[in-house]
Amino acid sequence: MITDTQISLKSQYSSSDRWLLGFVAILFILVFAPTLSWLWGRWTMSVWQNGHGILVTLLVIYLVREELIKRKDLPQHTSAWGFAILIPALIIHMLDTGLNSQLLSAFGLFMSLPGLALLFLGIERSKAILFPLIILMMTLPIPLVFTESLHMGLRIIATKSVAWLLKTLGVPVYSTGTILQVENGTLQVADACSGFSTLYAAVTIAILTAYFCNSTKRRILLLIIAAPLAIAVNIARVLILTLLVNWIGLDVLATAAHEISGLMTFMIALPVIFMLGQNPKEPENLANESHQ
Amino acid sequence: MIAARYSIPVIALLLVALIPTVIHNYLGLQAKDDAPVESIPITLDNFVSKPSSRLAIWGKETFNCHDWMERMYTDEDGHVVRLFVGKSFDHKRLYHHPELALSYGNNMVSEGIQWLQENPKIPVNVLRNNNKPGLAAYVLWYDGQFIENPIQHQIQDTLKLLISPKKPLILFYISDNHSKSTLNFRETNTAQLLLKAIQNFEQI
Repeated sequence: MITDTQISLKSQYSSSDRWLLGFVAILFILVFAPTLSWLWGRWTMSVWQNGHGILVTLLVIYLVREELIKRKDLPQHTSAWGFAILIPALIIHMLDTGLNSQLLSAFGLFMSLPGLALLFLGIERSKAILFPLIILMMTLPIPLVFTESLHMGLRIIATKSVAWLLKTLGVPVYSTGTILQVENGTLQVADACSGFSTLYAAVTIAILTAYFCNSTKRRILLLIIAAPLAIAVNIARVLILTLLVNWIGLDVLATAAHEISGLMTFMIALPVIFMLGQNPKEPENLANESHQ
Repeated sequence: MIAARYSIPVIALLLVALIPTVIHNYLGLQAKDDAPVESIPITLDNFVSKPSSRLAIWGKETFNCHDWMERMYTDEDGHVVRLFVGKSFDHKRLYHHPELALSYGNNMVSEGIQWLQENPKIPVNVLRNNNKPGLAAYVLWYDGQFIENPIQHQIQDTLKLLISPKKPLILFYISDNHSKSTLNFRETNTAQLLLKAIQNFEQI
């Protein structure tokens, strides 16, 4: 039985808790607002860059929310181990304010989230949301110095594949390095057309989808298929653009078709990954569907 | 659902993290800088200069420089040497392959660091044109010191920057299209002009 005093104390305690937690949230936003602003800039720069960042972040927010709702009945637990993650994350952010790389600070931001989860949600609930939080790291822009050779490899794969496909289709083409020459113009498969952004997005989404898929076979399939799928979709895009140049001329590359084709790679690759990663229907549901 | 047990220590940690964030991100505090690069004389030894034709916004857009100049210095024999001097609080923009912007279109090979002058030693990054005469060389200067390894320098400087305003890095970049690859860099008139420009700037 709860007495009036206990109720009063309880409500007072809750009220101060709310203030404290609100203050933590405001301070956290103040500390990382410039970093978030930079991240937003990188995610919205162009379709050739890190456009998947927004999608993945929204997915992570949704998944974290779902997991926490599932576990809302767990008692309030905390773990001081969170400091072991939060303190280094904040140090990384602080050092980066002077270095001005922004990327390190963004790394610190995502690193601090599991630390805060341990401190405010406890070990059990942190475990449940740890994977989506780690996946947030895959929304960080990768510096060109680490991806330069990969870009070049992807560009050569796209050029050679498109040249082969064009010859198979009976379209005269001459290709060398990352250049494709057709009757109506010469195209260069540049870094932006390497398909790296689609590859990065597809692999990230595939890992996330595989984690929440119950079927081991589908998980393996997702992880195996993500990269070749992204590369194949990009080859198809370069092929279509080359055919358009062959039929219409180089001016077509200056139209919205160029950018829309970039978006199409995401619009094809990502739904395929989601579809493959759907949990298989249980026999009961299948039986019900067949009766209807 | 959310336990507030560790709120107070977390608030303390976030407040500490907020100090450099406010200094650098919100207030953008920068050290006072009263040595404009335009103070470098128009005439250096036997070299007379005229400004290059770059747009005024170019230095800001390319290197985030708040103070910069580029001049074409010509000696008595008609040899032209281009000198760029720029200051930026965005250090990486200045030291990360400045030749890509300043010697655009030239295929250059790095010769590494060479040393000019004995006291203090000036580390110069020397680059040569790959298939024709000509060279480029640059020196980085920060807070009265010449910087040999800018990445190492930036890492070492981060602790000071936790509570202090940013200071600019200065890039002295010089290039020509006539120095032969067989000629030692220190013996070129380009090296002499670079040294003169730095010495004059130090005295400002």
